[in-house]
Amino acid sequence: MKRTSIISLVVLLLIFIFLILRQEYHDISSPPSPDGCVVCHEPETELSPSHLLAVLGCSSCHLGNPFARAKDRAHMGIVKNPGDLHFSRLTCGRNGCHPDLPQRVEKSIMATNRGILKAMQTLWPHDTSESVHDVHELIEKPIGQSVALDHFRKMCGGCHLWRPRYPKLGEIGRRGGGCTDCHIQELSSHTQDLSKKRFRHPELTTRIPSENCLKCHNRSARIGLSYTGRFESEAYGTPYQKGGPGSRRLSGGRFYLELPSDVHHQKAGMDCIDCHTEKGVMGDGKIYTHQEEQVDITCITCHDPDLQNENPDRELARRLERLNRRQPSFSVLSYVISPNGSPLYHIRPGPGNKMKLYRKRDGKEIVFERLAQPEVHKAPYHKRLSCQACHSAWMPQCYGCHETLFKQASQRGWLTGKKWPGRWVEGRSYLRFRKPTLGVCPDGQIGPFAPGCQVFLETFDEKGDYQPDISLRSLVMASFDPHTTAKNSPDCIGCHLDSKVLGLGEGSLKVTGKGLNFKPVYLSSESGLGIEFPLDAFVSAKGSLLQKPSRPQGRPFNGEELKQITRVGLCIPCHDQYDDPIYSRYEQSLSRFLAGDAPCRKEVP
Amino acid sequence: MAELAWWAFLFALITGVILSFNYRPWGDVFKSVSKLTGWLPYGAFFRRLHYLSGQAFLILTFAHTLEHFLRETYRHIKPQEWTKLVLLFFLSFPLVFTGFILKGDKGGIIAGRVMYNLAQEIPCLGSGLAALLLRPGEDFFLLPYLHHSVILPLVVIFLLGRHRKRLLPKGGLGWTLMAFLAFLATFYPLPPDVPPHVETTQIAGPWFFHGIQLLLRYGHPFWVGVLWPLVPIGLLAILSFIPSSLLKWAKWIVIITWLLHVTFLLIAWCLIPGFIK
Repeated sequence: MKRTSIISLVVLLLIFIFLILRQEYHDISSPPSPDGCVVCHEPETELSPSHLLAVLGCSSCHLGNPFARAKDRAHMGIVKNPGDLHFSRLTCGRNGCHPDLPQRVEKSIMATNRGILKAMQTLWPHDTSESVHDVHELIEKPIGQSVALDHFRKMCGGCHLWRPRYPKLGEIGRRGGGCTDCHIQELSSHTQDLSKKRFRHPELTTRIPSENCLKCHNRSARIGLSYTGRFESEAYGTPYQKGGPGSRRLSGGRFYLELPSDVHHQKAGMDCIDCHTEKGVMGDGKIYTHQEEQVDITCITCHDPDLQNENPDRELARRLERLNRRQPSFSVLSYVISPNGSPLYHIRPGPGNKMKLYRKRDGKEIVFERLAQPEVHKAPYHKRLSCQACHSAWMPQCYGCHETLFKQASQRGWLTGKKWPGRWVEGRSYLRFRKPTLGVCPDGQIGPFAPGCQVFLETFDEKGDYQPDISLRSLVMASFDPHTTAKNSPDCIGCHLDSKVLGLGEGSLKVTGKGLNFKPVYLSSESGLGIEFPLDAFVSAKGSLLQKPSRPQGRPFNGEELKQITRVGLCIPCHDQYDDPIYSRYEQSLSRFLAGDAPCRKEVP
Repeated sequence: MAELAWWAFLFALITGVILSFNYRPWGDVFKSVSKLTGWLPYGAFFRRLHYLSGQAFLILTFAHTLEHFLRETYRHIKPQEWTKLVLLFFLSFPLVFTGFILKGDKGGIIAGRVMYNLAQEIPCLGSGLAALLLRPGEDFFLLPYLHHSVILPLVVIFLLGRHRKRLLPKGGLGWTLMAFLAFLATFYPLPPDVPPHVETTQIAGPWFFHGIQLLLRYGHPFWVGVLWPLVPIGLLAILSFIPSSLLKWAKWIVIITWLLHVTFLLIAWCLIPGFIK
């Protein structure tokens, strides 16, 4: 053998000895998880029974390079929050896991904010060349000149599912994050020290606590607050406690008052997910512009259910039932189906005319009655009334939304975190909890309306000069379910002769032979707001529109409807029962009354 | 030189067989390669040795071909022997290229797509040839794996004809080469595998492909991605068929085309960083 070969063999031998001695290459016991991340990171708790670390490992969700030894290589492409919609198709939505869900969620209202964007671009100063359809499109677009989009970016864009999670304290740090926004049990501390080997991993859940919904749904319509019996009050901090402002505080230092909560919360302790289905919240894959198009439940879904649906998604119902281990399992599949076909697997027929609901979070059985009193609920003259029109105990109403844009100062936008010129200052005229104003909703039913929003926009340019051409008044009333359902409803006069409910606003209403005579409490003409009608007036006594409805199909009562409603109101003091014979032949009774033949007319001088 | 190339091929073959026990060309290939490299005992060493011996085979085959080209061997040997040599040299490129794809990382996936799309650009034969090279979808890595680990090695073994009369090539510098490669494999860090989902501004293919990668930015894929790489190889292959009177000119054309390729390669190396910025 040549000398070079011998030397080479010796070198080879030395290399092999080196390799054998070098621990990195062989001192590896069998890994405790499917990937190597746990060498450095060891969660103290499991994520959930269906996401066991020993089965999925870390990289199935967090990606990265799960077996690389060097930190920079192992962390290349790592995703801290797998639920982030920017990555969710690769993580939660990967094949074999939930492949259809990210695509659905991306199109859902909570991810697109289509309704808000459309309304703002229609009602606010906006250059149509900058128009966008959804938040994701807006994130990708450079910042333009549109005042509407500037306001959205800086004031509204903090609540949408495309928003990444930021390590911030308070509510802001808990918002956003795509799938994670809803599906984790929030940790008490939002900053995890991952430099330590052992750490607490947030738990995943499908039993979503209502607190997760309330992170966002506590402003604007404030339905989350109202449902739990909280009314965001004025900043006075009343009622005082111990000589100072009250201790009932919401995020952002806002005060609140305790009011009767929604009956579903008060009596049954139900969470949001006990009513709202996965399709209603995460979308069904279709793009909707308004939330009421996506939400797939109504009151009668449960209270007057159709249990004879021939096409229930039995497989999905079984799967959902099986996934929620706190739900009792039944051999017979009989459950409520939403109008869009979503199985409400936890709501079943009960004994007699009753229904049973098993709360999704703890499986507790709640027995409730089906729709009773057909003479009330099926009365033909009330067929256009929505359930919310009568059963909403109160509605938070925020009057006068004063938005001022100072272009001299700068403000950070929610979507990108960048700062650019233009600072918004927001204020309001006043807040009230009152019975709702009624009007005709986009679906043709009569339902509650509240300000949404009454914008008084003032703009000041870079020199601090007022810009009248991009300042405006845009007063809009919107219909929504206030989530303050009460078992009892107002008496008949409470609607038929109440100026606030009729849409005229607070004041004194007289029904005369010449029509309605209304004197408002609030005189806007003397307020300096620049409007001639009260902020709470949706319609004039003559039936003229005073504020725009949020949807073209919505409207307040027109003059003829106001006349009819108030005319009935005159009969109600005496004829206050639904089954009163005059209502079954109302037109006949009215003719008799006007002709002076009615017994009551004879008795009245 | 040929013996050394044979040695390098043999190392690549042996290390490839060792790696294949743990490599899966389906499912999460990136994770499979990551596990093979980072977790399995000596996995990183064998992967590096496989990579380096493959590169050595390519370079030594090139050197062997260049040696015979400069000696003008094509004038004396049978045309089919010369063609076999050039074909062997040519096949060393797809052999290394398919290995690059099988990494399963971002670079590998993009390289696979480029190969598939370039094949489709070939008139008439394109779609059929592309289907033989790669199948998009869940079996993305299956055909490259078949080519890399079975078909191409078998063809190379066949083409090595003259040099495979013994089970092992002659010793000589073979052991030195092995020691050198093993030494490199112990300390040389492989370029990082970029996870497939990572958004990157730039991904580079195998080093010898950088020139074509640069040209693909500006030219039609068929001309610069298919025809242009085949020109110098094709010209080289037909040298032994060209009449003696024209050989001098043909030789210079071959040299010029190769120099152009090298020039583009050098320009690309200056413009394209090895990995993500």
